[in-house]
Amino acid sequence: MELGAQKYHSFHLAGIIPVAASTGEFNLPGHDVLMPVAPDFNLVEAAVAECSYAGCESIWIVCNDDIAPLIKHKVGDWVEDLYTIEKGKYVTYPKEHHVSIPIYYVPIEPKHRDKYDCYAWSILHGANVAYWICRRLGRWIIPDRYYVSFPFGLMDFQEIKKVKSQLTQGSACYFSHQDKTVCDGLPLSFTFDALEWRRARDVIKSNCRFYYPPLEGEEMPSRRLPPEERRKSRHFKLLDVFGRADLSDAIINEVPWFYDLTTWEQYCKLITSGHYQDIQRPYGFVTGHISIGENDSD
Amino acid sequence: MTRKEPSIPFVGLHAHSVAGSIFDAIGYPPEHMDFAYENGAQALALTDHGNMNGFSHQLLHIKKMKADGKEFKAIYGVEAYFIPSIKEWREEYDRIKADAKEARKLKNDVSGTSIEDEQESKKAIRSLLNHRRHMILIAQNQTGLSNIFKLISDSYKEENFYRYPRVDYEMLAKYSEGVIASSACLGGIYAGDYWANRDEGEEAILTAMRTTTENMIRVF
Repeated sequence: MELGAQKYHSFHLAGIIPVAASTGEFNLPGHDVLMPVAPDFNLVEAAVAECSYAGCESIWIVCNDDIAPLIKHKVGDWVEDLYTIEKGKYVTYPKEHHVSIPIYYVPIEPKHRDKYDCYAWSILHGANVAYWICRRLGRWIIPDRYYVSFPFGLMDFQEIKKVKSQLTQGSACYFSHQDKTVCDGLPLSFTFDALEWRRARDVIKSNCRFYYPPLEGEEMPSRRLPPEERRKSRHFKLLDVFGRADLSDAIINEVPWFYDLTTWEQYCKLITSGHYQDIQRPYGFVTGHISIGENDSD
Repeated sequence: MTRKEPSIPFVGLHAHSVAGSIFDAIGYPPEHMDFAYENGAQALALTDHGNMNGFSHQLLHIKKMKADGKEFKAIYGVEAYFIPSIKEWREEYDRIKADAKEARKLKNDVSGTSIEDEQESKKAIRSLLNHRRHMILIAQNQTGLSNIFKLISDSYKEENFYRYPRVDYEMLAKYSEGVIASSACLGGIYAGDYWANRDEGEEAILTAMRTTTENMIRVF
């Protein structure tokens, strides 16, 4: 039991939920990630539940200051690990097996805003913050891999449970639908590591120039790029950044159904299909806020 | 929920929030202030790295706390990046930049925001030009707050900024009125004297610390 626990905790899968720079067609007063998909269950909660099923030990929601309080009000500071709750059905004292997963809110750095804060950058920034915060706390909790759960990409949670063991291993995992993955621009969950992070970061950074590179003998760049070329990476889609990822060693899991809920059309398709009945607030999906000032001795 | 009553009065003078130090903090200033209040602290200073982006959060929340009848004080401050002389640092920077080989080394050493391994990070620490010491500056009164604002604005000027905003003795002397300085953390000024002189022995460390103290007394 102890050995198993050690093995389980030796791998840190950090869940990243990119909200900043994401847009839908719903134009809700708060943010489109608060669109409901089931009674008392919205898109961002679905993404949190997905991370929980995937075995993430920490969840990092990348959202800016304007929307963070609203999401935090709905989602809270922690979520119960749904996997252990389901496992707990078969043990004598289920509550002893419950694990809470902390949820952190990460804003995009002000200096990056309006420069290269595209949707893909939200993912990379979330991973970077997760890495640095964990590293400052201790080298044993540095994330080994990052699991990206898109709020607008809705798929069957049962599929995640089937491949949980693969996700919490060292190899890259991609979910696919009709042979298309995030590399084809679909917001389908995937995992990545530091090497893939660096590659994706370089794609963005090398395309966020404002000036031509300096000429020989010139100390500072002075010639501006044409307007359409400036900060090009700001408008990059997922395909542009993750499109060139190496999938040769990756594990690709096909999901039976998937909806990209950035469009109203896809939302209508979900509602009119039979799949909406499969989506419901998972059993034991409990989120909560940290009670400030709570007496620890209780 | 009851407020704890501490046996010793306690005030935190060094804290970061995601409003200004994203990579060093979790949570926004109001959450920190509520936590400090509920655990019996009488005040809390917010000292973000090189900026005061959390100032407005602090100000709005302290008004709300006062309206709720909570006796708490928000302390405004910053954790500035300090080097003894920006002029000397700039000369050194220009000299190294002129030397193509050294410039390449500099470019490799300071890699900015990245997921990197520990060896790479150590290399970055070794880079002389990247050396900067942390220093807590806290506003004592309205004049001090205005002076901290001015210090921060100046530290972002082109001549003082290279990846990080910097302040030096000259700037501190100009804006020292109403400002309280403290030695920050393991990356602070006194810790810096230790790291820089530890190979030369205790006496060298003490001499460096005495010099720093003399300079600080002269400034403040």
